[in-house]
Amino acid sequence: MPKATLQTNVRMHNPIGIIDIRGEVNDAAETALMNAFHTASDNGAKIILLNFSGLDYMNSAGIGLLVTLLIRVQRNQQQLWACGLSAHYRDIFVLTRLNEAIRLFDTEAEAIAAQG
Amino acid sequence: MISVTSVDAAINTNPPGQLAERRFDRRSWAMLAFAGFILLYSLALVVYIARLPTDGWAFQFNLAQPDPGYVFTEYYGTTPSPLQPGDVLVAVEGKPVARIFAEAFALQSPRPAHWQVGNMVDYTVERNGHQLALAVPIIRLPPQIFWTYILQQWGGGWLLLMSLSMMAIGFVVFWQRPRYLPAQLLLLFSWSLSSSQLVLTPITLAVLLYPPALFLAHPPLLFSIWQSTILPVLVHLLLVFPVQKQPLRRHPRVVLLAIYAPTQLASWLALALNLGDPAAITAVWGRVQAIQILPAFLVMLASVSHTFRTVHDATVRAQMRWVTFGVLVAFMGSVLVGLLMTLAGVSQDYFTLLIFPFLLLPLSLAVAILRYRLFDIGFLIHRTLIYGVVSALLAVIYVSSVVALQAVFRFLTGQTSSVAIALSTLVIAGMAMPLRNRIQTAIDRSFYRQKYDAQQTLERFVAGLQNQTDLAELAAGVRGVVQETLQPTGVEVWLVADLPSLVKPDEPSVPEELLRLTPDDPLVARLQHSRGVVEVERPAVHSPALQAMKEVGVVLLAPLVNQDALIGVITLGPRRSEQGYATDDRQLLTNLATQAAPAFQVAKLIRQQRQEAQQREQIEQELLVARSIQQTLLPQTQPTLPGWTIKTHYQPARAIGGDFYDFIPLPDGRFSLIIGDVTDKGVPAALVMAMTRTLLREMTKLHDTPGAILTAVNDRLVGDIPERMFVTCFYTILDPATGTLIYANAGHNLPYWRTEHEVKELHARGMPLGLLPTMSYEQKEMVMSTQDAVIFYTDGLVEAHDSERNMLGADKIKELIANQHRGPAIIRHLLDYQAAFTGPNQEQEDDTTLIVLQREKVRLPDEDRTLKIEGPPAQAWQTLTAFSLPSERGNERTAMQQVAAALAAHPLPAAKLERLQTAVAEATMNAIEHGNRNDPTKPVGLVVYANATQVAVHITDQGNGVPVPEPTMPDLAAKLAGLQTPRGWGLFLIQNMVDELNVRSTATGHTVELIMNR
Repeated sequence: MPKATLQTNVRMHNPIGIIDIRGEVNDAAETALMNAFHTASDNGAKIILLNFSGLDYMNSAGIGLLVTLLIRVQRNQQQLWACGLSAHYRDIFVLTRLNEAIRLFDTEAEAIAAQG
Repeated sequence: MISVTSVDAAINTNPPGQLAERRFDRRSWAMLAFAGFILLYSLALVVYIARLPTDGWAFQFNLAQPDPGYVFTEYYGTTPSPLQPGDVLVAVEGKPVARIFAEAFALQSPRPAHWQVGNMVDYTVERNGHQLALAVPIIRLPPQIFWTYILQQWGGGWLLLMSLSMMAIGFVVFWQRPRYLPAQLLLLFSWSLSSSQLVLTPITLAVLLYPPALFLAHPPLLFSIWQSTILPVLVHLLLVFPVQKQPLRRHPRVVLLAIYAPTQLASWLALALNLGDPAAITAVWGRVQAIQILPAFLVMLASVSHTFRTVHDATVRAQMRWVTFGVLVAFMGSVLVGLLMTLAGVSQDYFTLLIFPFLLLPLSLAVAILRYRLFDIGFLIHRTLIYGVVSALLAVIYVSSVVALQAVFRFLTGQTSSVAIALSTLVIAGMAMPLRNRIQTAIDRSFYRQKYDAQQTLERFVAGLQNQTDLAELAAGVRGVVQETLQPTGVEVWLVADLPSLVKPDEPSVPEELLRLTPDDPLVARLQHSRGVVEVERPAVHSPALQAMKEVGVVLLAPLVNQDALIGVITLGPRRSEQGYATDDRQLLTNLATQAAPAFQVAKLIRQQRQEAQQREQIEQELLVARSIQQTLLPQTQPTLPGWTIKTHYQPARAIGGDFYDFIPLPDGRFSLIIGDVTDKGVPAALVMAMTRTLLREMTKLHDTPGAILTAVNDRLVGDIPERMFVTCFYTILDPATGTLIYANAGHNLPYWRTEHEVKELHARGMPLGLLPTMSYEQKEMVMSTQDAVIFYTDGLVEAHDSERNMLGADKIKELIANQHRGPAIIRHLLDYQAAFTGPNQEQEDDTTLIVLQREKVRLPDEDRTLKIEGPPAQAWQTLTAFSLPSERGNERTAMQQVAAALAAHPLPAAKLERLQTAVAEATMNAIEHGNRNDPTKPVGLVVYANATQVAVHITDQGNGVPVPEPTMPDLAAKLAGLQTPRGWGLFLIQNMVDELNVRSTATGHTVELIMNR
């Protein structure tokens, strides 16, 4: 396994658990991402907000990882939100129709406002 | 006919509803009181008369004696009287008889002053030619002496019985219908007539028992009452029953005055004018009585015959027959009896007989008012006559036998013995009774009992008709009744199925050729309009059907007609006995047919409904069959063609339409795509669809081009397809390698071709399959670019209707297709729109079939493909950089950076560069993982080219012979549902990131070529 190049940070803003994504989302990112998800969930997050403003690179494996996360989130009756995506990755979200399952916001503030 | 019926209904005074109730209103009470008054008054009179002092002797006027010939006949007292029967009264207390009568008529009491009970009065009588002076005691007879005397008189008992019966009849009828005018009038009539008899008889007798002048003061009042309450009431009654006559309705007062006033006027006038002449008064009364009888009779006769001529209602006519019977018997009977008695010189004692026939009048009126259905009147008359004659004959035989036997007895024994008479009488009686019984039974058997029974049987059958709803059982019942009552050799019930077919209800599937009844046969009209029985021997019309029936032995024919519609006929063969059918038989048959017709109609409807229900069930079954035929013939899976996406949607309507589609792989790698629609629905459509599908498959083997295939299919279909059915079909042959589409159209909806910029229809001319032979089909060709889609559909989509019957239409579909960007999703898009358009709860009208053929961007090689940049790059292409990377994860990021660096001098727009970088990263990852299997010793080679308009990147691995994985279209919904792995986005990303993707596989490895337009 290559070295994980993803760093995550979980911040609670109930009922939103915000996960800051920093680095690369690829097949090496699984452990970090899922740990962050569990942390947020354990703190009672109903909504998982992925803040992609620190994203360097995401490949098809990373997309697969998001799908896996999406499946788990939905199984937990939670919602998956995302913010801070660049135009390129936003296009990819639309192309893959991830935007139909993950609610997209430009900024974290917008996402928090939408919840309120 | 109809108008007459409605008039009947309007004037029929038969008590409908409340009039039939047994409740009294004021008029009922008044009528009862009046009738009671007449009766009580009459009875009081009788009692009064009975209490008068008398000499106790009955007398006769002997015409042979000098005037007035007052002869004593019989003594009723208990005190001894010196008078003897046969004594002729000459004078009372010295006053001659003639003078007594004169004074009595002059309303001066001729009674001697001491004419009181216990006194003796001097009578002068003539006995044996000598005059005697006798002291006669005046006594009071016990009241019952009247009845004793009356009963002793010949006919007196009968008279009493008759009067009482008449009263009883009148009262019973009135009690049943107290508010019904005819019943009230009948009460008045019968009580008045009875009490007149009850009183007149004692009076007549009293006249015989007492000096008559004693009570002459009373009768005028009495007579005037009776005169208004007997004949006028009867006339009135016949004018309101059973139908009220028009004059009475129009001018009730005038008519009532005309009925009641004349007799009153006449009697009171006579009294007034002849006040001093009682004899004249009596004579005038007699004349008034006599004179009113004739007009009354004529009025009644006119009323009855008018009713008979104008009223056709069966009930009223039956009532009228009873009334007529009563009136005729009463009047004619008394006239006849009087005539006979006069001719025979019968004593006036017997003239009470004259009143007998009148007994039948209230009786028949009572039956008419209350229970006219109780007996068949014609039958009753007939039977009465026959039994009368038979009884008379038997009596004659009996009497003469007794006389003859006694003569024989006397001859043998030489003496007359009462014992012998008694013995011979017994012997004859012993022989006569069985004989009489035999004869009666024979008559009954041969004529009446059977007929009576027939009526009863018929009525029982008719009463049960409403509950009989099974056609076969009903017909069997009718046949049974006819067999039982009319005893034909054969009887059959035929129902009109669909002229000329007549069917037997028990075996409806067997139309009988012998009995055909064409609609233009005059018999049909005859049967519809006259309900009567048709005698085949004496047809009123010339009818081929009757002729045919005659040949098979039909003798009688009774139509079953309900509401002017001919439902069927009952046919009868000849009678089992040699006898023909009598009028009564035909009448019976007509009645039966008339009453059974509605029941047949109902049963027929019920059977029809049952059959329809069965048919519906059968149709449901057929639909299931049709559906399964159709489902099994449609492709169960969609073909997978690399570089192509094919999506189908097929939704059958409830009443199966004939949509179909098919995919046929061709030997040369090409591929047929067919869509079609059979006109019509249900099983026939499904069968034609199956046939067409088979033909299409067969002809596809024999011919190469869509046009030729359609022509061949059409030629074969024309002969076999049912009339008015045809098949539309769009035939396409796709070359997946080149995207070339060759197509021909047999009248099908034009598919839409969606390119990047526009939506256009695929036009090609051609008639639907199966309409005309030897058709040719225009054939066209086009090439689909990547991302192009062709949408095939059937008219179930185009012709969907909204709740206001607006059609969805082809234009709207074209617009929807143009607006929808991504290919296969167009199906969902179109169907969603269709569902929203038709609205909820709308049943799908027709099958809906949709096929989307989309050329995907990627064409993956199952054979070597040429890259755009092959070998030494063409002049225009410039190699920017070439490098290789070991197969280690994470190196894709290096590749991205190097490519970006190489393009620094030939910059792409930022977004395009990012896309190209993503594609390069994914392709490099693929090469590392799949091609080189993460083997670090195997490098991944990258070359970046550029020309004026494009940038190209080659990524080459060492995956010798390892096939590139099949591209699957990643579907997020499927992944989320766990149907696809969450991964597998790589190839999808590559093909969507760049403008062109080419792959070449060689023995040593694969080269992926990414091309991005600047």
